[in-house]
Amino acid sequence: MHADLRFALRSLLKTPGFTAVAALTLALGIGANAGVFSFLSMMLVRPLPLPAVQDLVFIGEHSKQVPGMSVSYPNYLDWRQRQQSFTALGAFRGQSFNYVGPAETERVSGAQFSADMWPALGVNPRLGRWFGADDDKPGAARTVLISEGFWRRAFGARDSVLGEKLTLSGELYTIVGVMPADFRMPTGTPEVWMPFGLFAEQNMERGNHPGLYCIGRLKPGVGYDAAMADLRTIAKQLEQEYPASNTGNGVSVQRLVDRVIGQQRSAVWISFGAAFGVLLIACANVANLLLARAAARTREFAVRAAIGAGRGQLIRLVLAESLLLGVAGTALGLLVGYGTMQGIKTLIPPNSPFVTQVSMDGTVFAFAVLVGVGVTTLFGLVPALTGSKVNLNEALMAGGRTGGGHVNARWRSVLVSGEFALTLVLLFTSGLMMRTIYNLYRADAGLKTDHILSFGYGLAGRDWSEPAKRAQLLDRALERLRALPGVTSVALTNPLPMSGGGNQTSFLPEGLADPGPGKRFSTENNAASRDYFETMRIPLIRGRYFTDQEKADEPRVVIIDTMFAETHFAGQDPIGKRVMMGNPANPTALTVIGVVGHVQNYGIGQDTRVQLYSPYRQVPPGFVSFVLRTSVEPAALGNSIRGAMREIEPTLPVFAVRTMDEVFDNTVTNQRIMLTLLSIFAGLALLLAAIGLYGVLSYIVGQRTREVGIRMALGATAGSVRQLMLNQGLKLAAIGLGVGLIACLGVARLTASVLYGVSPYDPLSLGAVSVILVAIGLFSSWLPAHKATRVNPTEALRTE
Amino acid sequence: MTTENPSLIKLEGVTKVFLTDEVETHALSGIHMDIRKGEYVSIAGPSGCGKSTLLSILGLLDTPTDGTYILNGRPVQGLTLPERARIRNREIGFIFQSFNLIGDLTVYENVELPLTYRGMPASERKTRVTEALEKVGMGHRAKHLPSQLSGGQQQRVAVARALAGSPAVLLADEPTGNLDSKNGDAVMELLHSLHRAGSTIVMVTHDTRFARHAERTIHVFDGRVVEEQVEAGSAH
Ligand SMILES: Nc1ncnc2c1ncn2[C@@H]1O[C@H](COP(=O)(O)OP(=O)(O)O)[C@@H](O)[C@H]1O
Ligand SMILES: [Mg+2]
Repeated sequence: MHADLRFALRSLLKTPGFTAVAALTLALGIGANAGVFSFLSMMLVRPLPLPAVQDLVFIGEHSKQVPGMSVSYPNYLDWRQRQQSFTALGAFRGQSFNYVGPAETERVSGAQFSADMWPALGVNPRLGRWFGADDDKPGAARTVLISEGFWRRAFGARDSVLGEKLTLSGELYTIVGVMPADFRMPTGTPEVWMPFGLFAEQNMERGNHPGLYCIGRLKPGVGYDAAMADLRTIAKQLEQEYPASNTGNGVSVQRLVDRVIGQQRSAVWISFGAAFGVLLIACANVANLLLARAAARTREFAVRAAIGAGRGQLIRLVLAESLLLGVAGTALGLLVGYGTMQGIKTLIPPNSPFVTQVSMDGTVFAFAVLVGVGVTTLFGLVPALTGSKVNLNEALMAGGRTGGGHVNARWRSVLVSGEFALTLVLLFTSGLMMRTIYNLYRADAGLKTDHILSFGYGLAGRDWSEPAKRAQLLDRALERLRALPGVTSVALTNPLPMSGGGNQTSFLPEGLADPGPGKRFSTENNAASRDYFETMRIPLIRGRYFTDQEKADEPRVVIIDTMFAETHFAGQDPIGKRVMMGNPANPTALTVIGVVGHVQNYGIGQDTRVQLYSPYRQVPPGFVSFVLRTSVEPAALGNSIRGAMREIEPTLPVFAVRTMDEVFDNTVTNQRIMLTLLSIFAGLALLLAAIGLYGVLSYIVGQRTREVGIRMALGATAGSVRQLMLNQGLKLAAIGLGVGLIACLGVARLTASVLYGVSPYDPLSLGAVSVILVAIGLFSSWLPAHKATRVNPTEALRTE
Repeated sequence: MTTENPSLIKLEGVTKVFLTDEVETHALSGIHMDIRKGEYVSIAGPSGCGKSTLLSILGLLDTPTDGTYILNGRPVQGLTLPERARIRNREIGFIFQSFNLIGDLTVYENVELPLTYRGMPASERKTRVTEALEKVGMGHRAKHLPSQLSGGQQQRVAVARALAGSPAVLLADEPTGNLDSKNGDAVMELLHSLHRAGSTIVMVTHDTRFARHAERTIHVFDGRVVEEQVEAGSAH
């Protein structure tokens, strides 16, 4: 074998062109795959850096009005007590805090955990301890765990950090632990964790669903379905015990992995499918090269066999070559793969829990080696087998011109048609993605995102518990921002559209009999300032906008959207109508003063509800987003905004400074990543398929030289010879096209879920990519076809 | 020989030099030749003396390095490539030593091919192909592929293909070289009968047994005509 390898190396180096093209082709295919596979493997093998992830279950609630509802704290406490399926059942919610650091105030993202979260997740702190049940209750001493990153950044990674104090949103916490570097919440990347129990008192209302969700770890031997049944039974009991708050509420159970990966799953699979297509095409090309090489060496093999080489020896020789090629291709491919992975990472928003986790680990490495070496060995085998079976006499007599050439050409044609079929599927899918993105950006979101800068602002903590004080500060901030050069209008709102958040509140139109708990209506409940609608270009349909006159102690007014008006005041003038909110026994009446356009507040094409806006002065939120319409490039205003806000209140940080265009971009991240990857992969596929067709047709032209000579002797013109060969190339492309079209229909079911505004069978895209494919087929056939016209008939017909 | 017959092929001082790897091969060194309509001429000579090269030039597959070639009263020098293709198609019928049928086409399609290049309508092609195949006794094998035929049968199909378009001259390069003597005799007999029916034939052969069919044998040696010999017992 050693000698075989040495000889194989020598013969590969003797044909540097072949070797380079084959290794590079393989590297591109493997690289694209290894890059995407690093994401797939993370998704499948280690979606979260937690032990036994498959035993973790994510739990929320749902009602008819709010399909994805968070968990009420008292419900959680009852579940925890009554359940029999989990070793631990924890509750958590994300919450960010203002952190007054030595240099500047900043916003740190954090999470509030019930003490049971730690045993449920099964992670240990790197330093110190978890907080326990004693810390997790109202009035307990305030304790906090910090992330490894925060520990390094703010505490110089001191071990003595335990016991030190930390001020978060005006409250003093004692640090009891530091989390390990790779610990990450399924939902984000918090830097501080504190007991939820500290805030429990404000959340004891059973009808209140304050953004909590539960994570449970299944007991050994308890299945997912059994646990779900267990929780459903408890939810039924609670419904009976607390009809006022719990009627119609059910429990939603999901594997934690599904929850985390859910939205990315089809994106990752489709990208992987595309990368795999590229790999197949690359393999087909390498197989083609190997077959061509085998054909060219028929005579060499015949000579070797004639002087006594056994079939096994011939096979070993060819296999040694493929093996070397495979290793070289894989090594290069891993480099390409690393680049691909890094490239994909730059496309993903940095705060996604995915990004930092993905790496080229052993699994990816093993995958690449398996594919690279496996594929070359496999495809090396075919030529080795056909190559070793040559008819000695024929090969020697015909001077190596014939011998298996026909069979060889047929195989290679099949491969190339397959490449074209796959390329069509890739092109088509990226065409659909392109139309999807186009539709998403062109769609009417109900507001205009251009020239708007937004930022978050949190007025949390003891200092700001007074609503009037919050309103005053916000007033001053609006005024100060309005004076900034380049700013044409300023407003505030909560929550910011398309940022992922939403508040829902149940209500009843005035005069409607209370249908009872669980049957009331639900609306998006937003706060807005006077100029919000004009700033965001949300059109006024009826009535008027807010003014500066709405006072906290005056009767409350609201603006509703067209969807609200059509749903609840169909055929009537909604202006002056009242909606009742809050405790049904003693509701607050809100008078409608205006109707504005509907906003796609969860992103284009996402589920959305009726919308209602209250003037922020009547309900001053503890958390707002400012939006500034600018006459200049909005991103350029970041620093002047920070400066202005620091002047107004130095202890409150400005954070999440983003243009509205960026906010929108984030809602289509999945599609953008897919478009980028699919376009690159489709381009790669097209290139490889073109090279493949070129190679095969050149080979066929070589094979048919004699035939061309005969035809010329019989009076064929150059034009008819060219046509003959072009037809051959186009035939291969057309077969690929036909097979590809059928495959496209099959793939449609997979892509449908990520498309927007375009059918997965879109005939326009299908037509366009078919034309591209035929054009490429023509293009890559042209040169070999032209070469055929240059055949010298006398030479072609000479027999040696 | 009948002097009133016009000259079909006239070569004057034709030379052919091949340049390969800086080596000049003088395949033909000043050939003079005159072949009249209806003649049956055989070209003989040792291997490598330039017979095939000469036939290629006669068949417009190759161009002479020097000298003139007048075909049917018209100098072929300066013809465009499409014009040469047209002449090959209409005026010349080739018969090769190795048959050179196209393996992917049936017997019928092989014979039909030159007619197709001529743009002849399908019905007329059919008549011609059937006629030609009948003439060589291969009418019953029209649907076969060449690989299903014996060498002799293949060569008869090749002859049918050459004469289907009623060319002015049939050029045959050692048509019996790949055949056993029985099949070779049959093909020779076929050419002989074609000649009797009026065809002009130029045939390369080094088999003296067959040369007697021809009216005239031109002996070539080292790219030159060294001797012309008129068969005593030839027809006409
Ligand atoms: N295409 C070519 N390139 C170089 N040399 C050639 C070529 N064709 C023929 N020759 C040479 O010309 C000479 C005559 O060849 P050819 O006409 O085939 O001879 P014959 O048919 O009489 O055996 C030979 O020496 C041959 O090697
Ligand atoms: Mg010869």
